[in-house]
Amino acid sequence: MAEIPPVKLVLVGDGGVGKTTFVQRHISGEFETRYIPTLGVSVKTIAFYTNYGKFIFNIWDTAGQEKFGGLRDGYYIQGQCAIIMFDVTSRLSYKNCPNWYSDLTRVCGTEIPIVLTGNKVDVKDRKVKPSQINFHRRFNLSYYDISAKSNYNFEKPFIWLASKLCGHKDLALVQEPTLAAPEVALDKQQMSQYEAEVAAASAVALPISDETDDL
Amino acid sequence: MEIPPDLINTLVGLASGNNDLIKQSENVFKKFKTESPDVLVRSLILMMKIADDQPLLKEYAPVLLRQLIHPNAQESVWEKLSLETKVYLKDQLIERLQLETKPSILHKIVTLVSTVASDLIEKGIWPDLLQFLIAGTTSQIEHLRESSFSILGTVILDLSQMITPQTYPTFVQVIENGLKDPSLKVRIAALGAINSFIEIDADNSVQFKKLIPNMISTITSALEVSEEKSAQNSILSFILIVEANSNWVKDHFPLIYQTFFEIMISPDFEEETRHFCVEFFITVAENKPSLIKQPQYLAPITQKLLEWVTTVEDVNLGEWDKSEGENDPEELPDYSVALDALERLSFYVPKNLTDQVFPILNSLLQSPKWNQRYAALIVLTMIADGCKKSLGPHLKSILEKILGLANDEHPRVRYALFYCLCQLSIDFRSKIQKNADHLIPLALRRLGEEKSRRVVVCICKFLTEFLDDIKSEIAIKFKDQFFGTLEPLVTSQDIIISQDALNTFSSVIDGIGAEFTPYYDRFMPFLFNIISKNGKEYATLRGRAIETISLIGLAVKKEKFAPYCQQLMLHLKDQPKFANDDPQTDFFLRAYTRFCQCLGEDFVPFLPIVMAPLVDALTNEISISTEQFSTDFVQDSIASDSTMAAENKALALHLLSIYAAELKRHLAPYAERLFQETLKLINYKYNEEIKNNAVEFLPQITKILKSDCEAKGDNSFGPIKIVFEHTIQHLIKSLEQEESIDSISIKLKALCEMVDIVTSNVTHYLPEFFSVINETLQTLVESDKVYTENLDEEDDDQQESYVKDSLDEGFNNIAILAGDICIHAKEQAVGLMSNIIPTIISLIEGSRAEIKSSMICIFDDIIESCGEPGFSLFPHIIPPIMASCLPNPANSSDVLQSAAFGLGVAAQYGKEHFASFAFESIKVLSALILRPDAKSEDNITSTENAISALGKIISHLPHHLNQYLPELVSQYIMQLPIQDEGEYGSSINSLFLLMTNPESSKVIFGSGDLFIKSLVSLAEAHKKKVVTAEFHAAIKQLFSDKTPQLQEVFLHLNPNERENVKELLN
Repeated sequence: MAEIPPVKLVLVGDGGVGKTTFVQRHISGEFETRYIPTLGVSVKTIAFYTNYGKFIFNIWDTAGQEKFGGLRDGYYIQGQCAIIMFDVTSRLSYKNCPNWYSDLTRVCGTEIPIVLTGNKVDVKDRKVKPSQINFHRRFNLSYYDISAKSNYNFEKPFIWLASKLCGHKDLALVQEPTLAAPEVALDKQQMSQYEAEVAAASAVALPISDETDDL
Repeated sequence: MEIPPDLINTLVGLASGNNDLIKQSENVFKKFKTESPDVLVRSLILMMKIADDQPLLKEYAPVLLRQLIHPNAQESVWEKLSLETKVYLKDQLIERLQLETKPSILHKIVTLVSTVASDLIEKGIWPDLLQFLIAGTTSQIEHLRESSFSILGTVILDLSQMITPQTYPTFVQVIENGLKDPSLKVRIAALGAINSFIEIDADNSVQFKKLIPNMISTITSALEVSEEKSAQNSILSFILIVEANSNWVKDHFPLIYQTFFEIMISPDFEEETRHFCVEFFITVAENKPSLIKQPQYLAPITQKLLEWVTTVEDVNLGEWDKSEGENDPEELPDYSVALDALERLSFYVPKNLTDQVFPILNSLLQSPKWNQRYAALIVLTMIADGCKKSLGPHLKSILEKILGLANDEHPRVRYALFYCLCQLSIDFRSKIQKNADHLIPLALRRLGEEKSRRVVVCICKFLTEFLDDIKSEIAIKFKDQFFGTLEPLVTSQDIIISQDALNTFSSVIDGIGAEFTPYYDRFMPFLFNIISKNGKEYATLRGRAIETISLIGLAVKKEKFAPYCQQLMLHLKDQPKFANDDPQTDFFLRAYTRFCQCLGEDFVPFLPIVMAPLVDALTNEISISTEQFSTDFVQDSIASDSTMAAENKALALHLLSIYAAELKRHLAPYAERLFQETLKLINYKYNEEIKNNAVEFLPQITKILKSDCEAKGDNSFGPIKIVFEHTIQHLIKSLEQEESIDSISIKLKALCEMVDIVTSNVTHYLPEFFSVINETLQTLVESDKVYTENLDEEDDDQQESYVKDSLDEGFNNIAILAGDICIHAKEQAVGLMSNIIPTIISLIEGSRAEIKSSMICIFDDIIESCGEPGFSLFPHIIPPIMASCLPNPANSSDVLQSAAFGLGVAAQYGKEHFASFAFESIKVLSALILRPDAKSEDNITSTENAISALGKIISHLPHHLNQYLPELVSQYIMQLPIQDEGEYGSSINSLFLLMTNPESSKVIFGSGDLFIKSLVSLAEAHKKKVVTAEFHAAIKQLFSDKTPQLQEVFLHLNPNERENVKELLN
């Protein structure tokens, strides 16, 4: 199989939603229990082995907090795909997703595949319910509940991005990623309920537009 | 110029993905920024021009450039750039705008132009940009049209001075073309531009009105392509339009409503977008209620909002019960928005909202789902204040419907019930208290049985509110049940329960007053025990305890309480100072004040103990924090850690006024310090209460000093004259700068007090006074104009408005001040007063009744107090007063009363000066007296003032009335007696004058009926003790030679009248 060139993935979202933690779940890193804000940007490379070959993501983990900004949206330049992350226990972090989206698309355009992820679904006190997450549907983004602490759905955003980038809907992993041991056990029943809710929410019809934005 | 190779390497490094290399490159980039910004900016511009085969540089350049040249950004080097670089940048941007074809780069260039354009135009470097943009909107190239509108929308916000009434039509035409453009992208960009126009000048943007249908259809299209931000901004524009000129939206309302309502209820849109629509509807309700009142609009909105309120979610009840409300799980945004919306609607369209909400609440209350029952109670709580009038008649049936929920299985429903009853107690005070026999036993029973501590606390809060201002007989009736139920709660180990129960306990004591005496010994040791507790957790409980003790003092009175109070004060003397944020400060300061009210002058020895914390509270530092809302909008406000210090400062000023009233000259030793500190606060801009309380206290300090001087026998007030002068001058200056209508009122009142304190010395300050009165009058007139212009003329059921009340109060206070000055400065006031008379006359002729009657009162005072110079104004001031006596809808009862009174005093004081107005005045007064509903409850006061005025005219000017005198005398006397307390004495005086005047006495004594009526009226006045000894002697003298007539008249009197007449003549 042909070697696929590394892909620049931009990871954005409010400060403290768990971007760095998420990236570091891959075995080369470890779960940070103490919150250390990212300064400017930190790039980490993660590889996934799929039925279409090895996908290397250069993940540009950007600072969520303004004051640690560095080049800010300068880091988004030439991004080929992105993950917008929010924290399901913080409504504000979800509310800010449209801002992250417009910042991203201002630099990268609206053509790149973007995944929306809601982190910390392991926390009991969930504030942003699956039925309330609808922002992504208007822009044809994909959405995943994730839990960095428990590895839940860790690989999902990457598989979706990879399949979008190479245009093969049947793309699948041939080798599980090596992840650090889960810190918490998940409530299985709760997760399947969330999954059902996410599925139900995406079944609601969207207004169909007859004009497309080609910028 | 060539791009430095270093810089190219840097950008390559930034893009490398290698963390170390990125860090290094960032450092080099920073170095360029600090050491050679011009080279950096010029190089990036050059990179933008590089052909598409260098994508990395071409992509990086505009993004990095934007951060560098943004005039307000943190990373900006804009100010450091040379003029040449700026001009170069501008030229290159224009060129790129025309030549660039790659959409992603073009978008970035548009952003760059918008970023720097305003600053460059303002500095005169880019005078032709607007022309370029206007031309661009009609370009053949789609992206240039779009870019032109986008840039126009951004730059116009900063260039408002370029938009004049003359240029408006051009812009309207340009935008109309944009909204009709075949390309949706261009239409959306044009919509953005229109938003900017409306934002900078909503008042004058009426010319865009015809574009509403195009705007609405573009909003819908924008939403279809997920351009929600554009749609949100446009909905916001509609909000601004309605605020500035609500009539704008009238013609297209069905279309606007339908579009916005669909957005509001669609789950596909962002919360903000949907909530903006709610905000739009509320803004319409506020500014154009007649539109939204129509059921076809209000019903669906209300229904949807109620649905949102029922989304309240299940929570862990154990945790809910433990928390005190602050840490409650946050509700869904729709829930909070809906509650807020319903509350606001309840103030703007109360009656119609009640009609819509009521049937739905009825069914929600009976729902098997707890959150629906809960929602019904919460909604009722929120709308109760606004819908007071329309809910009032149904209060009893509302109570019947909700009280069953006191035993609801769900604690949050029980909680909501008592929360609701608490609010109803505030809104329907005496009305709901009529249900005491039902409500008090219900609440006490529940209190005894309730397991949820949070519900217990809420019941206590309800009872506290319910007992406020209760009739003592009701409180006394239940006192044993109260103390029986509350005692175990008050002594509970749970501090929260204990302190709330103690609060209710205080209210019971306040309600029963002296009836508390038998319980005094049972509870005092317990309360004292709480005061002796230490520890932060007891702070509020200690506060509640001292509050209770102070209310007990007022209830059982001085004799019983004084020994205990003295002991307590000595105990408290040594307690350490409270920290700035200690909740006890408030409780203790208030309690000390009640001790003072209870002990009166006996409290003086304790003044040093209480003045220390009061002065501390007054002088405490308050920190101010600055919040930046956008790049050019910064607001200072009190920092959150100083909130309590600010509240205590306001409280201290308020309490000091009470001490001043109670102890007067005993505060003199503190006066100088208090004066200095208070003076600093009369213009305090971060908290209106502090400012207003300081203004109210300032005259009190001068009163303290004045009474101290008087007590020392110094009536010249020599040493304190300077304080009078300072106070007046500072108050006048502060009034001149004041913008808040409420504070204007308070400052006017303070000046009135100062006039009353300095009395005739007011003549020293007349020019300053009249100048500030004139200015303030203009301010009020301007504000009133804005208020009246914004009224919804088509609304036939206008709601009471706080703004209107404030303005009316302002006009009233200005009238009192002008009047007080007339009273004390007398003749000397007239010269300067003449300057404001034209304004007063125009207000009498063209304002609503409340303002009119205040203004007439100024004329009444001139007539009564200013002597000859005042009378010379009669040709100007009497005609408007007469016109105000006509019984027509513009003249309310108050207007008629003050006008009729004015005519009476004008005759009484002005005599001959009034002669030429006498006949005309008698005509209007007679019309008032003889109107068919003259004696109705609403009209009786104005009618009796008219009768009294008529009496004054005919008794003071009988020789001017020629052949009409007999008829007028008869008409007057047959209207006697009047009941009005203010005018009763005058009416009798006039009668006596008529009886002593040779011409009119002939009429009276020549007619049996008039003789009887006059005699009986005088006798009644004597009985009522309004007749002085001297006057009485004169009356007796008058009848001394009328014995035969009296004997005959006696036969026609009833026993009561006979008795009165006997008393009068003996």
